[in-house]
Amino acid sequence: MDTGTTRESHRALTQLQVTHELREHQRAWFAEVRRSVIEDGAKYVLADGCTPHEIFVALDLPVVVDVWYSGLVAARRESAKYSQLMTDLGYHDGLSRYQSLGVGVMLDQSDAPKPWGGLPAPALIVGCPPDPSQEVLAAHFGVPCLGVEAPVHSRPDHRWWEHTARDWERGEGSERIDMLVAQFHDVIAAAERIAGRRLDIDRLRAVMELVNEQQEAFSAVRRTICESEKLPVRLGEVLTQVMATQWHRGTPWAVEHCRKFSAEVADRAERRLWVCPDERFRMMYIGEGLWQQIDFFAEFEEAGVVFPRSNYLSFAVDAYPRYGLEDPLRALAARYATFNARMHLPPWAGEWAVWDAQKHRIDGAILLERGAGRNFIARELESSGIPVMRLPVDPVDGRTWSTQRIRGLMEEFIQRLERHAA
Amino acid sequence: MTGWPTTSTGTGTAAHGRDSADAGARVVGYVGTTVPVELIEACGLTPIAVSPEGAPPTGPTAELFEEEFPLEQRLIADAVAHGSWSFAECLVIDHSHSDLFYNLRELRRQHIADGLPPVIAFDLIATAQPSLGEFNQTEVAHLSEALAPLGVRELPPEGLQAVTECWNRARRVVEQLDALRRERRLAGSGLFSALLQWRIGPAARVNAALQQALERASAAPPGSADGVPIIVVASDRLHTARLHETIELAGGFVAGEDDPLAPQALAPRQLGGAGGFSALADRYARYGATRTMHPFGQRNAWLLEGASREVCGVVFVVSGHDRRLGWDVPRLRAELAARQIRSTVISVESCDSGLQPVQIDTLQAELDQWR
Repeated sequence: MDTGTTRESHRALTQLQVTHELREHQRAWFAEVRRSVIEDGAKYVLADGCTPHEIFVALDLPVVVDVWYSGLVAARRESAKYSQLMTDLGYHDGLSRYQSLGVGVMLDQSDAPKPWGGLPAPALIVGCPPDPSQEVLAAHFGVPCLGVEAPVHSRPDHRWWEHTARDWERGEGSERIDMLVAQFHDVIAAAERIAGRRLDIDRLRAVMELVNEQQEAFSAVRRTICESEKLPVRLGEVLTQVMATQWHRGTPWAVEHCRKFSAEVADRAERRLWVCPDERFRMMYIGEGLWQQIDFFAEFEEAGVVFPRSNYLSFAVDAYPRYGLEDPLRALAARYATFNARMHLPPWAGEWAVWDAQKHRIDGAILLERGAGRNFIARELESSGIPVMRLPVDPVDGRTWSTQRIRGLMEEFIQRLERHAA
Repeated sequence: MTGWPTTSTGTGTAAHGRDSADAGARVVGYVGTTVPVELIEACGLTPIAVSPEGAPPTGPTAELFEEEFPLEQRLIADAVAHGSWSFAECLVIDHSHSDLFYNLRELRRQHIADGLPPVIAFDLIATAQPSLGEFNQTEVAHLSEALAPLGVRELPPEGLQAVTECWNRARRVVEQLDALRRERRLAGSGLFSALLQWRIGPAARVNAALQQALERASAAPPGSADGVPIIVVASDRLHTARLHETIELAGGFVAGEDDPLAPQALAPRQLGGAGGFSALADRYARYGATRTMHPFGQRNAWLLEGASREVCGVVFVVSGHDRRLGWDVPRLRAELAARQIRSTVISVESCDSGLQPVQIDTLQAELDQWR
């Protein structure tokens, strides 16, 4: 295990004002959620990243995302501690920590302070699909755990990013949308019981409109990154911005903040404030947020290496928007019908990665060695002439990181890119 | 990768499928526990479960199927990608194997595995949630439509009814076999070896094989199978009886197992053939036993109830490929302990390889204390 960079050096790498603002907002927001739950008996939902948060937002129920909390634990360099605690409690090391560090935090019986105070007791846990670690938390808190199953997509829709935002009924298939809508009605019923009121469908439509506006702001950021001569914003900050605000999607604050993010990146590009003036190699990162070592993406700038692209920003732009909100619940179902599969599985993920790599003028790809489907993505990239380096770590488990080893791999890969360029 | 048994009872089913095809049958391979064998057979096709073959994955499946895929699925993918199921009309893959479906479909699309038959997703969701009832029924209808052109006959309603009755007879025999196990006329390994025959249709063949096992077990006196009674919960679904056999070597008597082929998954839920697609969808949605679906309460209830009735303890067998059961083990052990039921956890490379000699010794010592 190796703890890598320090909190001070991480702060020194922060270039955007909106990143500072986001940190403050997240801390204050979570503190208020905790306070209101503990002191006022308020309700909130603990959910994964692929559940229809929009329903809860429309019912004014706060949503805390389990992968966000895992990322928080990792970013605070406490993942090794809680991963090991889980191992010691019988949750073997083969079980993914990505979504589940909250389990370690909540099962910790010691007096040690928990990250940001720990998770307060949720009123409902939701997963799409349900993750077994959520069952552990549901049992711990004694609350219901609701699962939503996404239907299989039997007919692959190639170049999906070109049509799913508007032509979603055809792209997803009406039967598949019906199936998710049926399950969303179960989610709505559970959420209404907690909220103590009925869902207003017009409010849901308004929330959906805000989500679209937020993704449009992200789209402007991607356009700036792709069209600028050099990279104007560090990937670590992009990841932080996209993920944290995505978990507030459908709120006016998220739209406003994303517009500020977009404006600040555009301003940097206009003033030619490049991350690395001597930019030589543009990398794409494929995988879950590397929250345990978010500064990894800035560590090779001296060698001219920058990271313009990750799944997160591009997925926000290409996969989230849904226009045509006459029936907002159907549009919402169409967002999630093939959600994760498009990011990770064939044929969607590989074709999309190649297209997006070309859009970002990518020289090489760093592929997190985790998750089904990644080998098809690597195959597509390599066959398109984009070299791929495997990053053999867990995105949140600090026990898997070795600075020396990762540096060695990166140095080798940079040499390979130099040969490739020559 | 090592440790996959090649000699234990009940390894791969491809050879049976090829024999059936050579004899003129039209074979459909299926993957998963929610695929309705009755429907396949009613279309004039022979349902045979695709199971892992003996060798570790090589070639495209070794390169393209990551370790996140359970070992069982990588071995299945390897077998079908290398043409072991080229005789099949198609492969039907259920919802709990959707990643496998996507990858196999891509192998075909990119012509990476030319011996791979067409793959069909059967997306029935194994849940009793009423909101999914209509979807599940539609999925059965879609499967029927997909199979009809491959079969030797259209699907008349009475055809489904007759075939369902035949499979129901097999389900009743499973119940009888389980009763003989409770009387200790039949060891767990003997029962599970018989249940492995379920994978190789048609129903008439399954019935014949189960009847043979029933006759043999009926001839044994009560109490002839000894050992400390336990329930086994394995992280992988089983394709051999090796785990049962090695537990018996340790002095255990496997009185129950948590597996899609176990009696509680196969036997008691007999649907009426007249119910058609609706009854078929309902049965597989409710009782297509699988560990990957929410909610998990049905399995947990079975375990806690069974463990408190007839056994000395529960043995959890967790393979190095487990991504699921491990989340449940601490909680289930705590619930068992609260009921003063003993339990232990054994880590293995692969559940189908059974226990290693040192593990047999360790378990034997533990069971001696449980006795």
